[in-house]
Amino acid sequence: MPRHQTLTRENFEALLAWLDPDREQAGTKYENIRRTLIKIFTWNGHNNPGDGADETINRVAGKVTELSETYKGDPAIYFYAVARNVIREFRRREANREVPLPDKLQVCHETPEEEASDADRKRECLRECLEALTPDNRRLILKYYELEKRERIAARKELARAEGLDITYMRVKLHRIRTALNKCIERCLRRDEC
Amino acid sequence: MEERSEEQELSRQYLLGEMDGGQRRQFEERLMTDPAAFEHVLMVEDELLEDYVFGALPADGREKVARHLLTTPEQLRKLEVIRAIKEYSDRPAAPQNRFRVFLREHRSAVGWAAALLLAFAVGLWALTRDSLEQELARLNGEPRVGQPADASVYPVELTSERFRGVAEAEQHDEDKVSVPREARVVELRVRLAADDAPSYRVVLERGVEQKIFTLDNLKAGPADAGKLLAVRLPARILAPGYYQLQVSRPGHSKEQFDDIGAYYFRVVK
Repeated sequence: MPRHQTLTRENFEALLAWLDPDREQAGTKYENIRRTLIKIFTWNGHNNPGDGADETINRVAGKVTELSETYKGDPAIYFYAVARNVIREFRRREANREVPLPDKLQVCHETPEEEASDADRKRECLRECLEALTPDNRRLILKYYELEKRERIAARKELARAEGLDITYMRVKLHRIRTALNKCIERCLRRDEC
Repeated sequence: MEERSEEQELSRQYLLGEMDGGQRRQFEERLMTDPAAFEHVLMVEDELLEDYVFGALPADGREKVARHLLTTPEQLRKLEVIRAIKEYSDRPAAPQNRFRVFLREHRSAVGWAAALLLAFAVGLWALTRDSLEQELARLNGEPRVGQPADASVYPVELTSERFRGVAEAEQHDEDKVSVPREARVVELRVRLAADDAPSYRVVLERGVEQKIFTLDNLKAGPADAGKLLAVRLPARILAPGYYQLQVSRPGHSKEQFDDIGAYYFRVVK
C-alpha cells in the first residue's frame, strides 16, 4: 500500500479549520487526537505508532474538503475509523512479510564498559530529574516506590491516608509525576548524547 | 483479591488484550472523545508496568504485560525508568555520623539556632521575592512597541512545540539560549495568532514543576500575521537548565485560563 503524500500547510490549515473555527481550540483538538492515536497504535502492536498516527492524519487531511461539507459528528471518531483501517493494513502486511534469515547471525552488543557507562548516565539523569521535582513530589514518588510488592492496593491506600490525600487524587498526582520524570530523563539523555 | 473500580478493570482488560473486537472498538472510540478516560488508561498502563517491575502480577499477567505493553521503545524506556526509581528508592540510608550525634545531644540549643536561622531565611526570601515581583512588574509594565533597542536587553524568540508531532519534536532540540554576560534583562518573544484576547498570563517553570513566576495582564503588540508577546525577566534568574513558558488567555470565568502554548527552552552557559 503506497504511503499517502505528506501533510501540506494548506491541508493542515483546512484540517484545523474543520476541527474548530477557533484556531487555538483546533490546535488543542489536533494535539489530543494525534496523541491518542499514537497510543492506540501502540496498544494495537504497531511497530511505529508515530508513523501510524501520521498516516491516519494524512489520509483524513486528504479528504477534509469533502468531510467539511458532508461529515456529521465528532471528527475524532472519523480519525479513529481511518486508524482502524491503517491498523488492519499493518497487520496484513506483517502477517505476509517474509524476513529471510541472514547467512550469518551477528549479535551486536555493548561492551561491559559501554553498558556500565550507559547505566551511569541513566542513573545520573534520574538523580538530576528527581532533584528537579518539588520536595513533596519527590518524597511522594519515592515513598510510593518503597511499598512492598504484595498487597500494593492496601499499601497505596495506607500511603494516601498518611499523606492526607484522596486515593484517586494520589494516583493522578503520581501519574503526573511519573510523566514529568519520563520527559525530563528523556531530555537529559538526549542532551548527553550531543 | 484486589479491589478495583469498574473503570480500572476495563482499562486493565483493554491493555492486556482481554477484550473482544466489539468491546475494544467501543472502548477505543471512547478514548478518542473522552480525554479523562484516555488519561485514566495511561495511568493504569503505568501502574501495570510498576506491578510488573515489583513482581506483583501472577504469571499470566506478566506474560500479557510483556506481550502487549513492552513492544515499543517508549514503553521499554518507561520500564527502565520505573526500575531505576525503584533501585534509587531501595538504596540504603546513609549511616549515622558524628554530626547527627551532636545534633541529638544539643537538641535545645540547636533548636533555637535553627528557628533563628529559619526566621532570617524566610525574611530574606520574602525580601528577595518581593524584589523579583516588583522587578518583573517594572520590566513588563510599560508597552515597548516602537522603543529603541536596548543593548542590555537580550531578545529570545521562542517556538512552540504545540503543533509539532511527537516524532518531529524529538528531532528538534529545545531552543537553546546562551545569555551574554552583559545582558541585564532577557526578553522572551512569542508569536501568537491574531485573536481578541485583551491580555495574557504567562507562567515560567524550571525543570519539573518548579514555578519561578506568574505574570498576568500582559499585553501583546502587533506583528506580522498576528501578535507578539514579549516577557522581560532579569537575566540573573536564568541559571543553566530547562525551562517552560506556558502562555494562556483568560477563559470564560474569572479563574479560568485557556492554554495557548508551551514554549520550551534550555539555558546554556
